[in-house]
Amino acid sequence: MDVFGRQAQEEGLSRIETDGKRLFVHYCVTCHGETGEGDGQNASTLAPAPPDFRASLPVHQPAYWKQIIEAGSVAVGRSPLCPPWGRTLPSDDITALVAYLGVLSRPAGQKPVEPAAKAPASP
Amino acid sequence: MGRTIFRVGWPRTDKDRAAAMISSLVLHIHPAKVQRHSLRASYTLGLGLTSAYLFGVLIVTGVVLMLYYTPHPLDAYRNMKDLQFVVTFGPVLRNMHRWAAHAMVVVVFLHMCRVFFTGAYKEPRQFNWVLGVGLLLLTLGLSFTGYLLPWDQLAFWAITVGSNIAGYAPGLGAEIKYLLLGGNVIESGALLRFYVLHCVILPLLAAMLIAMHVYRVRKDGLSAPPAAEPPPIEEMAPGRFPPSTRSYGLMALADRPAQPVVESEPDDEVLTWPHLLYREVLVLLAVLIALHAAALLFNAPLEEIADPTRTPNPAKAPWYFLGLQELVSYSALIGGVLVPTLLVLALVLVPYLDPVPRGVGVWFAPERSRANRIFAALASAAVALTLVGMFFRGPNWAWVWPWTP
Amino acid sequence: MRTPQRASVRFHLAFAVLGVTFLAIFSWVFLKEYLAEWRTTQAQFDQLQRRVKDPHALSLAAPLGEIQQIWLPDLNRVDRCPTCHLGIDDPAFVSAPEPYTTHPGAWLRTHAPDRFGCTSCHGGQGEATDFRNAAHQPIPYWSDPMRSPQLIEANCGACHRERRPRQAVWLEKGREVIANAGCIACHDIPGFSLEELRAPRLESVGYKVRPEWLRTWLADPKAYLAQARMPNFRLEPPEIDSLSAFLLAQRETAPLDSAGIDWSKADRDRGRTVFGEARCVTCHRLEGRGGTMGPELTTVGSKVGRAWLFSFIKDPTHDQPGTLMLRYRFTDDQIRDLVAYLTEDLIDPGAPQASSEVRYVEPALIERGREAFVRHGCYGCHRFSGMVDLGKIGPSLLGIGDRAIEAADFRNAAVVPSRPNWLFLKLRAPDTLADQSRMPTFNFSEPDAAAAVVALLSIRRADLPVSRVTDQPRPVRYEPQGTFGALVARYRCLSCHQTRGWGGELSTVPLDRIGSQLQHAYLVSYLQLPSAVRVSLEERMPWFRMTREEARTLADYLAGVFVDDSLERPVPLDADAARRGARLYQTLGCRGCHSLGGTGGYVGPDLSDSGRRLKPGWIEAWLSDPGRWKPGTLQPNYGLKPEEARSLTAYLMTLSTDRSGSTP
Repeated sequence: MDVFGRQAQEEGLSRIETDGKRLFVHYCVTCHGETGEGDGQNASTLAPAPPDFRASLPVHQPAYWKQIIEAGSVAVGRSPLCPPWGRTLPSDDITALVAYLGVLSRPAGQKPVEPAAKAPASP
Repeated sequence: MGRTIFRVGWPRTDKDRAAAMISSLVLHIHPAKVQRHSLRASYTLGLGLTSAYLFGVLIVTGVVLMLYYTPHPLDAYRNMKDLQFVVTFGPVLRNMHRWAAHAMVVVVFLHMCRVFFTGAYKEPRQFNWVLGVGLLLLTLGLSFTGYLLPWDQLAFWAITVGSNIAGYAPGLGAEIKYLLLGGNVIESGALLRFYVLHCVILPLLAAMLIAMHVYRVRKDGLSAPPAAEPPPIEEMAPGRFPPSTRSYGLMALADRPAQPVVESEPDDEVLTWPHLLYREVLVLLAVLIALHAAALLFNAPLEEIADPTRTPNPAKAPWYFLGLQELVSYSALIGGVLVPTLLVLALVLVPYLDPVPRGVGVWFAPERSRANRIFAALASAAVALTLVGMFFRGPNWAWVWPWTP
Repeated sequence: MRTPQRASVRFHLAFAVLGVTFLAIFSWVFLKEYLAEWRTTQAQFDQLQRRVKDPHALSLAAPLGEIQQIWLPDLNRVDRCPTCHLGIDDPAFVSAPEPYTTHPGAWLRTHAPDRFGCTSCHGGQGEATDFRNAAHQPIPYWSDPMRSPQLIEANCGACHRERRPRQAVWLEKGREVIANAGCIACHDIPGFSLEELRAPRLESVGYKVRPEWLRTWLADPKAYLAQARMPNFRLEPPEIDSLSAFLLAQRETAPLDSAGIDWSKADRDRGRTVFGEARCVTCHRLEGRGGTMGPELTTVGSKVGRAWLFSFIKDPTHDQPGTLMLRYRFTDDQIRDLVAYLTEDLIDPGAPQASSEVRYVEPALIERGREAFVRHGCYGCHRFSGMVDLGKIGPSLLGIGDRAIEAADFRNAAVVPSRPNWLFLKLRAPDTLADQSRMPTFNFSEPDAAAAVVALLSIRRADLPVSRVTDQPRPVRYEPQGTFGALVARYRCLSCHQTRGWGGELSTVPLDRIGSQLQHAYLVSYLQLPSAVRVSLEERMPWFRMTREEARTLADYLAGVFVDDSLERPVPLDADAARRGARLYQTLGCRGCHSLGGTGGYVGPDLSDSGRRLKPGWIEAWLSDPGRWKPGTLQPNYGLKPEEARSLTAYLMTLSTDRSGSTP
């Protein structure tokens, strides 16, 4: 048994995705919800309501997600309710958020594909 | 021009060959002729020669290793890592030095056993035996002082245990230990002392003793069963040279030997060139092959950097002192001081306590069966205690079976 | 003579065989050097870079055939990793396979390899020039193998000593776990020495708790309270007996007199109302809801006695001088009702019933209890008069990250004998390791224990040069004096609020410049009767029932001292600007987070009354760059132009709930 090897398996996120998850939880879940289903605690006050990421994310490319995060939903011609984060978050954070959106856009249960031989398995 | 260097040139006749032996500085340590009996591999097993070769290899590799070594705790361990990873031929050099050192301890011990069991320490070679005992102790000392130099856990704790044994001597124990370590604990002072001992003092002493040892062999000849019974000792006049089995002397002295050369059987002697030299070259090749193979196949151990706060359990002395450590585990004073002192004293006195000049030149001569039995018992006891210390002692020096994990 | 011819043939043959063997083995020495792993690795890289790079870039590439190393004398490190990781700082190799690939992320930008090396962050044996010896995987005799992604933040923590290091979530969480668990009660831990312990004093505990509750608590604190901070000491029943006797005998300070209280008049329903109005749930959990600063109150009636609770609410500092609990300005009748509600409604029907107290007064038993109290190091958390200088019961954790691990430390042979695993088991279940541990069981969750392991592994033995260490200055204790100080102490403002880095963390609003942010009149009314500015928050400021004079004193001091001069500037507020601001409010989507007159989001504060609440200088400064005033705020920087910020400020200053018609 190697307790830390097991931890790694359960988490299943790469380093950058973990970063992205942390940022997502801090900045985004109030509206978008833990899993991005658009069911955050503030979602009911919003019109239009935030989209369900499971359906909306796969439609577009990561570059499009990035544009919304940086310049707000206004930038793609939607409502102004999702604010622009481009001046608030450093570009690495936005890259990490986009990476985590990649996790959310995958169907549930599908683990991310690690680049080969990136992570040693045990401490 | 060539003649100014090699006086004789390539010898083509027996006379030239004998002349080559006599006139060459290097070959001069050989006699011109040797007894056929002494050449037999089954008689000497080539152990003395092998020890000398190992010493030579250790000098050569040791000097090269010195170029990469700083005797300071902050650098020594890193030097080992550099030898292991970046110095060209570094691993081979270090491995060869290590394995040759271990081999030398074994071979010198076996050489002593061979000399005893063939009775080769008997008159006139009594004192050469004493020199040999000195060389055995120097070999152990060289190995022990070299053990500390890598400055890893293995080195540190082996030397800690080893130097503690020295501290058990009554009265002067603490002082001896202090002198050896240059302090009460092993740190930079001890490392420097061990380095100087290992690289300067002990090799010089060993080289001098080896020179005397070999010179004695050269003067007294290789031991062999006497062609005839030597004259009884009481017939000898005071001041005369002891009788020799040799039929060929370096210098023709008027009053020796007692027996004329012509009366010994000339067929028993052969020319050193090529008979002895050829064999010596073959042994050299065999030793070098074995050392290279060992150095290529097995890496010298290197553990974590020495950490005085972390004692391994069990902390073991270098393997050749494990018999001693085993004795110490029963009684520090008797096992660590009395027994080894008496043993060394007995070894030194062996030729004088056992003066009966019989059974020389043959293995396990029946005339010497009692002496052989006593020696065999002591030697196997030493080996057995060492093996127990090596393989049968676990944490807290408790008995373990080596095959149980 | 014996056939010299045949003998000589035999010798020649032996010579030939030995000679050839020797030559072969000697050339093997050279071959081994020539075919060293790092040379073949570099040769493969050469082929790769010929494919990846153009001839010009190729001509600029570093020469191959040499060992590359980074020497960091101050860290005593030599890292030869770049010998094989040849594309590590070259973006051209981003899709190349290991070991040639580019370093992921932006880490090398902030941690230049020539200044930090590789093993400072990753671990491993930097001196090595082959894969195995570099300790990519654990190897014998190298105690610092390369860190897995789960543990690498431990190496961040060796240099980054801040309590909340950036971008190291596990390390941050681990340090929080260590601080919250009170590890420093028993261990000296570098970096945690100023941590405050928050266990109650026990000199008068005999008046406070019910004997039958105390036994349950000592047997397993978590059985009474899932959030209990006190760990389980795995006490045997005789020890529980003696400890209970010892503790119940502690009666130094009698509770404030409640003899004049007519308990028959107590009204539990009124008590419940008082409880709600005072917003006790900001700090105390009740049936799964509420804060965690104070103990959960769901079954407090089964724990404490009525007289003690009355005294405690009347003046919490009476027997607990350092408590975080504030002193409300309740009347005795209100306290009576509140105590009745707490002790009669909030009980555990399954709790053991009171047993006779007689057997708790035996002096020998009490003395054994005192010994047990000392043996288990209880004095580490519960400061106890007469047990001041006993020292810490556990070993110092300096160098715990380098602790030598032997396989014999593990009783369970199935566990990989590694340092992280040892620490993990020690934290999760101390008694499963081979040593007879006095360490109590904390019931850390697996993620918490794993995070704590990361934080512990960052505590190395060899200290780093000061130039390598980053840290935050630890806050200096702030204790204001005078009338203001007395009020701050009474109402325990700094249990929740921070100023100059000192104080609690419950409030997200630091007080440092509060006088320049809020208007004086608003402060006075808010302190007397706090209204919710953020409706979604559970943890709100309590209703202290302070007097108008007190509120005015506090507000005066805050407005005079807790100011930022850069915010105290006039902002031109004209009606045109306000109209432009109103339009901006719509187009920027402010309503997504802020509500106005009952509509809008509730991520940010309600802005309906901002004209009477906020100062214009502050609004303008905040809108221009929110992150400057509050790092990590959810208010994004919209990049407003100065006149846009002014317009929005003008608009917000027109909003007030006082004048009807001004709210949209």
